[in-house]
Amino acid sequence: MNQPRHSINLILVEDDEGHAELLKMNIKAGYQGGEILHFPDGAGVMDFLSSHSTSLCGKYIILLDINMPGLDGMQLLKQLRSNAIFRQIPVLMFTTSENEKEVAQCYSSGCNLYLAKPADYQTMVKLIQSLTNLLVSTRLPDISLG
Amino acid sequence: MDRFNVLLIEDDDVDAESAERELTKFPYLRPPDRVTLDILRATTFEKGLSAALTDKNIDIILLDLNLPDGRGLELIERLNRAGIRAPIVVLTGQDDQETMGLDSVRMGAQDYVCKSRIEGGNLSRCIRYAVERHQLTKRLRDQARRLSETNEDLESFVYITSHDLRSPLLNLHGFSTELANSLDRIQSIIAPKIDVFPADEKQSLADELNERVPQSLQFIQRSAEKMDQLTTAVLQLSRLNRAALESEQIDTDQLVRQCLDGLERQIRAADAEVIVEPLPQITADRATITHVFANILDNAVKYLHTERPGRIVVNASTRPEGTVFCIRDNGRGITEQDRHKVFEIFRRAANAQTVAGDGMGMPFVRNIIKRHNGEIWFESSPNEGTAFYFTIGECIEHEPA
Repeated sequence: MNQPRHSINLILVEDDEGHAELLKMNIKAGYQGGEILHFPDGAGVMDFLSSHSTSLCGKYIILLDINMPGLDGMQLLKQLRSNAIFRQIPVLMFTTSENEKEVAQCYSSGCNLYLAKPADYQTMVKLIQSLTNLLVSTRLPDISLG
Repeated sequence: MDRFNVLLIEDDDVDAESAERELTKFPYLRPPDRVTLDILRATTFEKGLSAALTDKNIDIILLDLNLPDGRGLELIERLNRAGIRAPIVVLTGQDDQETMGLDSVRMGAQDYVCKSRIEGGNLSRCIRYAVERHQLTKRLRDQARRLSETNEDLESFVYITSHDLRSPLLNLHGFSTELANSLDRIQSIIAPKIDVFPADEKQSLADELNERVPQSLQFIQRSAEKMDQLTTAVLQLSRLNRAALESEQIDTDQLVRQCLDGLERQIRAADAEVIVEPLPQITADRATITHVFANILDNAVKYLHTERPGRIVVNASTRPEGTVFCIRDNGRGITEQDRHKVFEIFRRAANAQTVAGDGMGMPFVRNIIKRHNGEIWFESSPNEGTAFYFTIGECIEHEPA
């Protein structure tokens, strides 16, 4: 296991247990950051983010599946982007669909990167790496809020 | 007792009286009971139109084309545009019956009758047939609509099913790969320490780890891959079927040459001669019609005979049903048993084992031709060759069925 090079954590939002497990197994090897937190739906993520809102800055990347029951990925993305604090968290979206319109909608709703399932895990690791590089390079010193 | 409602749009009182007389003398009969005839008279087009719009129970409109506030075929057009659904029978004058009459029917009237020829039950008979024809047309339209709805449901079902199958398939594939990796890890731990086990156990362990487990995994992985291929293919087909078509004038000669350019390598490799005779222009959806030609040409090249120089001819002939395109090859041909498989999805011929393909092309080609309101068929002799024929209709269904 690699020594973590940075302390950025991954938040994985995926309703299918099998997909989540596969993702964790396959990117763990290449991922040199902190923890991989798994949430099976959008509601849990919002709760988590709200209770950690003071320490979010530059510390998380969200991996988001679009097709989920309840609060689906697209709606969650919009909620994130309309929140002053959460909107700064980079989001990588993925789904089994390859609908061009949907992809365009993801980008215009504010996701940073998009990948089709089944994911080429190596590509995913590289994309996550590019997002973490971005975070680390633009990271502001921790400012305590209120 | 049923009522039969007639709307008579006629300004001339004499003509109107004579029509009413004829109608009451031979009222519309629906065996075995008679019906009560109700004649509503309008003396101008506007009054007639307004009556037709307010009274939804009008069974037939008798329309004189020579009215004070409007004349000629545009009256029919105006009734159509107003959404009037009742059948129309046009009352023509002596001089203009053949021209006006026929044109009226072309514009949507059910029939026409000359005013001087309405006696002897002519008018009633004309009306009866007009109404029956109208009802038949309505039934056909309803059936077509129901069919189209069923088609839509089916398409939806196919799409959703194949789409939703991809999720579990991903797991199947992913975890069988993971199992293979786990096996490797187990083997690397056990291998150096294998001699710890007594001889028979050592053999058993070797059998399991080196043969049984890897083999089982391989079967699972291959099946998962096959399932993935099938669902992807079905999804693609479904997606393509739902796309909208556009019309444009296409230079077919140029289109065919384009397709052949794309097949240049294969044509050279097969040492085949391709002859393209002059082809007429067509109005069609460029992308899909290109696909039709490309697919059939590709097959023609692929299924050439290995033991003789290949020859493919593309031509068009004018037949009563329209232009018929033909792509003929002197290749392997299609056997009697395989004939029904040609347009069936995922079915491929026995003599096609050496040829790459997914069994998706021809069903899709046929769907495209159908959406162009054309027909596609083929003739073939095993070992002699195959000829595919298709027509492209005059009006295309732009939206999927």
